[in-house]
Amino acid sequence: MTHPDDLLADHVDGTLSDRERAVVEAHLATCARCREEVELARAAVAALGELEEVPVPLGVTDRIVAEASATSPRKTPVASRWQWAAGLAAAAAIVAVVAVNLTGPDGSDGIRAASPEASTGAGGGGAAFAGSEIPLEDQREVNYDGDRGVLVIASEAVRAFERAVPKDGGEGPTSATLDAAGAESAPAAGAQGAARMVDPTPALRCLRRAEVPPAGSNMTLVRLIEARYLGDPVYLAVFLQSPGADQPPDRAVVWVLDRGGCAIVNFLQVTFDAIEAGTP
Amino acid sequence: MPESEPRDEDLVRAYLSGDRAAFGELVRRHERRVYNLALRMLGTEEDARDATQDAFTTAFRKLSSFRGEAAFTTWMHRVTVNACYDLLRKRRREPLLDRGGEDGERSGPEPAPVPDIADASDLSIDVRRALLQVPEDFRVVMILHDVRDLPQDEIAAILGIAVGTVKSRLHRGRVALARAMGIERERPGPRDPSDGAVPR
Repeated sequence: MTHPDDLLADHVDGTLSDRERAVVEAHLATCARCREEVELARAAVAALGELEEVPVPLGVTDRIVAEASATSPRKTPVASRWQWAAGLAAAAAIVAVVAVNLTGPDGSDGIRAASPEASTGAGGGGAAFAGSEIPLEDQREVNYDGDRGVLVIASEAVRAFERAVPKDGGEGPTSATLDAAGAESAPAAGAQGAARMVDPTPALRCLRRAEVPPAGSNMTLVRLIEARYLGDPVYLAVFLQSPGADQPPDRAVVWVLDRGGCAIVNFLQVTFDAIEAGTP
Repeated sequence: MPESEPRDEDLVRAYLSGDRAAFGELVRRHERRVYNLALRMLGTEEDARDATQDAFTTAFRKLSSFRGEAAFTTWMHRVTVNACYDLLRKRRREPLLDRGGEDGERSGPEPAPVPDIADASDLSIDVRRALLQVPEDFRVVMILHDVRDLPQDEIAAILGIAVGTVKSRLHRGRVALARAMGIERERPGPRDPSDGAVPR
């Protein structure tokens, strides 16, 4: 005899359909074992129902809340304002260094990628993003089929930034280091050769519609990509975020926006510390 | 600013956008649920504290991978269940230390057999101890369903199992729990025949 184990819990709870109840009652009429189990189960439910919720003892979650609320500590000496502003430009400049084409809608070279000279002020204060200077990479044939690929993009931006900002507080990036940073961190996805650059205006419009980044969030745009995410056409917007207005960035954030309606599909972050630890 | 409280998912987004206080609010909202689930799974306040801290630490680290497809509570429950399982595995590997149970007694040994359900307070101590004797996979389903009152499809989502599996584990768990409590049938009448009609 087979016993309807998957029906007996609902029988005790009284949630069976009429047909199921008929099946169970017919079985119970001839099965002492299941009859006994039903009674035991009822007693167990009653006993479990007597258990009350207890209050959380003091201090259990204080430490984790404090850690989450604090500014994330920097392991390395804080770079000078010029150095990390240039680092932000370097992160954006990796795109320019590897670009083959820069084309505006009228065919002219209408897009200026961020350059160190032009961007000394770009990273400072509460500037939302140096958006007008970031080109849009065309990766429309590339499908990011999960978060891992997106996190790789974020990590590339972080690495480019960190290569440009020496941790030992040295002289700062030179054009040689920027070239090296660009060459090393060429966009991996879809790169049979370098990405094609196109007019970023629709992407920037989408960001504004989605209110990305939120005001006062201390995020600087470093990369814009047009691609697919889980099959859907999206924009990927990579920002470096600072914990405070006058501080160097400590994490990369990627917003994934649906290209049609500019809805926020996803967003991911990876801290510089996590990349250092190899655990994004 | 909206008058009503922000949803959990809004707090997640706010935290990831730089509002660091938002995580504290999420913790405040969910810590009681998390702690009580851990307490019923693990049996001691000490272990429940550890699992609660582990769960929120994991949530903090992994918040960026919470995609908002499931409800935050479902995700948080899953993180908590995993933290409990991890702690149970760890305790099995460590040599057993003489750690006090909730009532100053070691959790684990057979409870004194109870011939009948007598006094409410005895009952509640016995059910807590008996729960720890039920296999973990059944225990967690019982806690989520019969203590936390979660619907079966949410339990299935939390544990990553089919709803049918939830039903059978729930039943098996309840039977095992009652046996661990030493509960006999309440109306021990004349022996029922194993077939044939049952007097109703």
